[in-house]
Amino acid sequence: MTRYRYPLKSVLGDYLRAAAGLMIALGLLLTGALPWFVALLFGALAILFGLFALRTVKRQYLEVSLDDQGIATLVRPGDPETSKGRFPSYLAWQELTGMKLRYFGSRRSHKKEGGSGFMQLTLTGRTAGPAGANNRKTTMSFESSLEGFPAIVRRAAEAARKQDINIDATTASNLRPLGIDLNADTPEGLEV
Amino acid sequence: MLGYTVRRILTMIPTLLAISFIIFVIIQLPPGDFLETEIAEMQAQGEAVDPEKIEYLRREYGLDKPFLEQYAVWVFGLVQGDLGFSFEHQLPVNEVIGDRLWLTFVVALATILFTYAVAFPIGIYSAVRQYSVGDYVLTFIGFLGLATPNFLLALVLLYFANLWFGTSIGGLMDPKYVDHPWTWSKVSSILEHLWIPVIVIGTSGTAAMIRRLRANLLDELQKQYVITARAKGLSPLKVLLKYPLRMAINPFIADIGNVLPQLISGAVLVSVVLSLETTGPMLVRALQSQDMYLAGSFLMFEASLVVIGVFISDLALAALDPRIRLAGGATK
Repeated sequence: MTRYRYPLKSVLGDYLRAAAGLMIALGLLLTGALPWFVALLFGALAILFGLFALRTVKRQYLEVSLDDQGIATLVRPGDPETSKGRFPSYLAWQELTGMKLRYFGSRRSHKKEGGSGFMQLTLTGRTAGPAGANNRKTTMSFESSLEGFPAIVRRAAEAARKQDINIDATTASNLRPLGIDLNADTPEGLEV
Repeated sequence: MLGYTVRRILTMIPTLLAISFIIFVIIQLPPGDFLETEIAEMQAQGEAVDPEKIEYLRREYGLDKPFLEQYAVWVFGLVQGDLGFSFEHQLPVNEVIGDRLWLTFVVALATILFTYAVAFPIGIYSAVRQYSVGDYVLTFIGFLGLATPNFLLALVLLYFANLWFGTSIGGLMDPKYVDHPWTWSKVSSILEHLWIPVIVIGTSGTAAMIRRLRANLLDELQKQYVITARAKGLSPLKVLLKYPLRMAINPFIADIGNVLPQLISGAVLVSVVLSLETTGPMLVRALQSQDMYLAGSFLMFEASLVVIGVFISDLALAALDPRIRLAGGATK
């Protein structure tokens, strides 16, 4: 089993973004001199940046475990050796029902090689086999700043191929830069 | 998507700040200021100019303060909804503009909806039924719309609207409702007048959009994946809507950022012909008289529309087609 985490550098960047957004939105709201529609706008922005801050906290402590049977996530604050962790989630590869790989970036990063965009992998499926006690639907989402992201995408693509899951054109197109071609007989980077 | 939205919003803030600074610099670029223009006009008319009064007014308007201080006061005011003071009208800009910003926004939004609602079905029909009688007729109407000058169409529609429906000539409402508080009868009067500028401003944009959508969709429909989808037995409507149409409308979504300000600034001539209480004619006058806060507010309004339009189109594109165009785009 291999464990991955979001590196501190990417988490710090998100903390700075959340702090900057909250400072601007809350700072202006606290002046109390805003007309109602401007206050509404900055209130919505404060909520958005607040949610982003909470997501970043969760991401800082997120631990992703990958093996041949499935992928597991756990939010583990504190010492990884002693902490039990919270919000455990598990997705068995044989229960994978959907895979999406999206790319988000500025117009420039869409057109320019090595741009500042990022990828997002979304996996849907069930926690265990049909006979499993905790067999429920689950969705997992990872961004490309996660350590071992290419390995997770390769493993998910391999499972999607084995399960004969319909992959949309956008995902197939985004897999190619990672050296994964689902249409090839022996896809590069896949252990078939 | 949350991370992307947050990143995009954070890039909007410095962008808007930079734009506001550039606008303020450009407004200050012409030699002199509003007061000096006023003094020159008074002296030309042979009137005496009291230097003490001029100094008093300069202090009152804040024109004696350093440039950066003037800019900071303006920007903080903008964020709080205070657009500054109009020297020419001797009123706060908020009061001078009054309903003009909202009316401009209503005209622009109605025009966009009209343009998309008319252009999309016609463009799709023309592409799917290429070289049919319907395609030729609609193409002819499209070229007619492109070739007819907006101001001419405005005059023709004004005449017939008055003749057939009794709609008053010019304006966005009956004259009795101007400067009156908002009531349902005022709203219905606006709706009665709104269709003329919407058709006039929207016609040329609609015609251009029909041509572009037709060309884009024809390109997509000839690609191999469409032939494969047809061969697999997908219904023609599903084949059309699933991928070719999504690909064909990408350029239009990317264009939203340009459409919003163009509708407002490009409609100045039509606004003059139709006597619309929109921002265009007032902006022209404010720039001529160096009424810096009034002109600056208008320009900032247009710039904000561009930034918001680009933001909306980026989010729509990210939702519609989140693909890497070139290899190696993702670095993080």
